[in-house]
Amino acid sequence: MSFGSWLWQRITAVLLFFFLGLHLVLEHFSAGSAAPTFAWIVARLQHPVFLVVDVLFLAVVLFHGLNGLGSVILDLGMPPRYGRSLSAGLWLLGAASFVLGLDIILPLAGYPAWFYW
Amino acid sequence: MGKHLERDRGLSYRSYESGMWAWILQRGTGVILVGYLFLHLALLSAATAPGRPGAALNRVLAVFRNPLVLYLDLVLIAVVLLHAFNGIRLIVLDLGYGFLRQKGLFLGAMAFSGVLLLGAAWRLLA
Amino acid sequence: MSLFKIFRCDPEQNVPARYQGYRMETEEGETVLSALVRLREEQDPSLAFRASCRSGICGSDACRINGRAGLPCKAQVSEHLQDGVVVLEPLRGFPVIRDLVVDQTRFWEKLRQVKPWLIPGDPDPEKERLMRLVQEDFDGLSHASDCIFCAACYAECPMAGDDKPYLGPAALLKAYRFAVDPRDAGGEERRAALEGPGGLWRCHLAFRCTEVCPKEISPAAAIGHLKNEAARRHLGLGAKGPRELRANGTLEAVAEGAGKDGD
Repeated sequence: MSFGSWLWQRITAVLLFFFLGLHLVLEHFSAGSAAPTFAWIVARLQHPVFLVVDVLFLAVVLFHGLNGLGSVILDLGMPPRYGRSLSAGLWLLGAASFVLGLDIILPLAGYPAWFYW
Repeated sequence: MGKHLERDRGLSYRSYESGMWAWILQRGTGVILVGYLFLHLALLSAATAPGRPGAALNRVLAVFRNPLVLYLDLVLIAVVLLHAFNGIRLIVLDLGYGFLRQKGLFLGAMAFSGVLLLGAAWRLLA
Repeated sequence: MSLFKIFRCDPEQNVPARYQGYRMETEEGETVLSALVRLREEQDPSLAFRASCRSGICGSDACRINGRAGLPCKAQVSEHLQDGVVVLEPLRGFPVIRDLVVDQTRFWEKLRQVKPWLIPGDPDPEKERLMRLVQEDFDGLSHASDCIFCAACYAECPMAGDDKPYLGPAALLKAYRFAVDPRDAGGEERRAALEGPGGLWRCHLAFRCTEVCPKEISPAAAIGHLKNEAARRHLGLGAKGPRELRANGTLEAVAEGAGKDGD
């Protein structure tokens, strides 16, 4: 949680401006009505550009969110000696969420699902 | 000596100015959005669970056409816009610009969010 | 008749925290500090507070006046009466020793971490070290060195506090004061503190320091500049000299207390 964390928070912020803008416009304002249909989402994800954009969006939004959360926790007064554990925990949570997110996106794009519940 | 750390006694929000409100806003909306992100992932994950693709997700998406949920959706969009434009303000300050116009920057960010929110409301509810 | 609601506590005697009200007639133009002194003399000799110069120079009497850190010696009672009441509390974020007196040990420790003294660039003792400072450069740092360490900024900053590692606005402002001093070459030595877990990156520009600074300095703009410089160095973009800072308005921003809403 230092310069790197500060800098990447800003880089991902700028990226999110575009990703989230695109996401909102696509899912809310272009699908013909307020909410898209399953078929519409599946059709969109068949295009590799949209697939790549969605996967990148997932990674970037998770980094920005969890990095921000870490910052809030540090500002609440977590002693610096726990900084590494906090960082490791957040990376772990982020990685798990990323895998979970991939398991949502990839099956919709036609790839087999990894988890069956 | 028994240590008594002064922290929460007497909230002084009455004397807060724009910078402080901007910070509270950025923190609050940030935490809400992280919460929503995980809710969003969990819901989508459940809705697209293999075995019942399509039907379940369409049911979830149908919920989003409910007028009440549309209003909630609008609240979410407001939170996103406030966080985004307040974030732009922070990046402008980080680049070294606007310290002499701090309040104007904040009000500008709020105004931008407001205008875009009205646009979104018009599009969603019309 | 004014009512002073004063936070009282005495952990050493196990006296629990409470608010005590004192009624007193105050004069036109009387400061809150003057009222406190009279209250102690006329009504309650057990009332504890720190004060020294009575004119906003020593910075020892800072406390919270109606929920906002400030100097009682610079605050007039008439301007702070809210429905006839003035509420006085110790600075937030510090351990209370007694009543309005707080333990500032950590605050001073954190200040020491940024090495708040001039670190000269040329240590050759053979040479006569005449360190000249031209008027323009002095103007750039003089306002930043007006800080009296009253700790109002540190007490009000939502990221700072006795139980947190953040060095706080006062210490970082002091680091800025030397960063813009052309005679100083201590950038390298101060780096560990400035970029450590309690350093620059914990500032999120809430501008509370700037709102409450009784000397109308902008620690927020100063920290913003230090962050900008640190980022430029990490990214391999050259540092900005004092003359460039004057050109881009940084010095002006710090000196004008930039970030305040103004009245």
